[in-house]
Amino acid sequence: MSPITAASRAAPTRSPVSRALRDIAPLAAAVVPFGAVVGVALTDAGLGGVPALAGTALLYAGSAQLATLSTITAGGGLLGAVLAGAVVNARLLLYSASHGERFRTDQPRWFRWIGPLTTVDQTFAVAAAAADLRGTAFRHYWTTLGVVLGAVWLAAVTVGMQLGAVLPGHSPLDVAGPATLVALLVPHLSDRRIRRAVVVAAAAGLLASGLPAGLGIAVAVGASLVAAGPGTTDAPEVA
Amino acid sequence: MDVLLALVCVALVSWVFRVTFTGLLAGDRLPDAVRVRLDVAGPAAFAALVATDLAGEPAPLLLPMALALLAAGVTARLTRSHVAAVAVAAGAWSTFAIL
Repeated sequence: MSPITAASRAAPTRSPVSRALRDIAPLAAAVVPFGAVVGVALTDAGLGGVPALAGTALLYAGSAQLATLSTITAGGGLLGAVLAGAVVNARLLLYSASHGERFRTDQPRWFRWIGPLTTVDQTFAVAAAAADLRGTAFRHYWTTLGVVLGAVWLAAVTVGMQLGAVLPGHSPLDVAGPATLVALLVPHLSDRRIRRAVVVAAAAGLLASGLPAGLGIAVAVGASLVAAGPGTTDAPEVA
Repeated sequence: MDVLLALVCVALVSWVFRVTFTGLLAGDRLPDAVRVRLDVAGPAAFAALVATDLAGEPAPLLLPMALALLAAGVTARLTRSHVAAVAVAAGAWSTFAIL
């Protein structure tokens, strides 16, 4: 059982806001180096100040932002950059499908349209582990996750924008993004069906990484869903 | 200007992805073949992102990155701490990149 799951199930009477604060704190700290990498990439792409932070806040997705910025910097053009970012973020469709019911049932209309703006790998994983929360409790929990992670994210990106000029081309910060994902992934590996999906996704991702505009990610996720087969797992993502 | 425009466009597309099954469509419209596999979507996406990121590393940094991610995985398994995993990975990357 992941620490997130354990924490969420250990104190069911705790308020949704305090649960969210406790659950997101370790992940928020872990995304700081990745946010700094995105800030450096923004500087490299020639965007700074308020426009850079506004774009970052609107997009709120580090991997897609990096794909977009690196495509622009490499001369891939506006269309290529948008395509790259969109394909990398296509997994958000699956996240939306997976936890859509909690956004639709007993929720105000605004929450169905605005609440999912903060869907990212971290908030999705944490909220999936708090599967007992529904209705108002889920809304308060989710909103707290998004606000806290977003504030830390923007602060980290700001720091990265300041560091951009002094950091070398490659630094230990480069490993921060994928290491965060590895840490999110590890608690799920106790389930055999998920292990099979993860192995297929990793292998397909390596083989398809040469495809343009981040299509390798979509191919890898598609292949792993097929390989996983139907069924349920005891992992926290079953909503 | 192109950079900001690109970010805004990706943000709009991403918003559509994010609200597709919360506001645009009902979840029960999903094909059964997809619905029964959604529980693996998160881990599969994480693995795909890591793999494609690793494959995109320049050759001299491929091994340090792979070893650093392995160290992150072991650390996450042993300590269950995201912060520790990232810190160990950064340290491992530095060590292996220098070696």
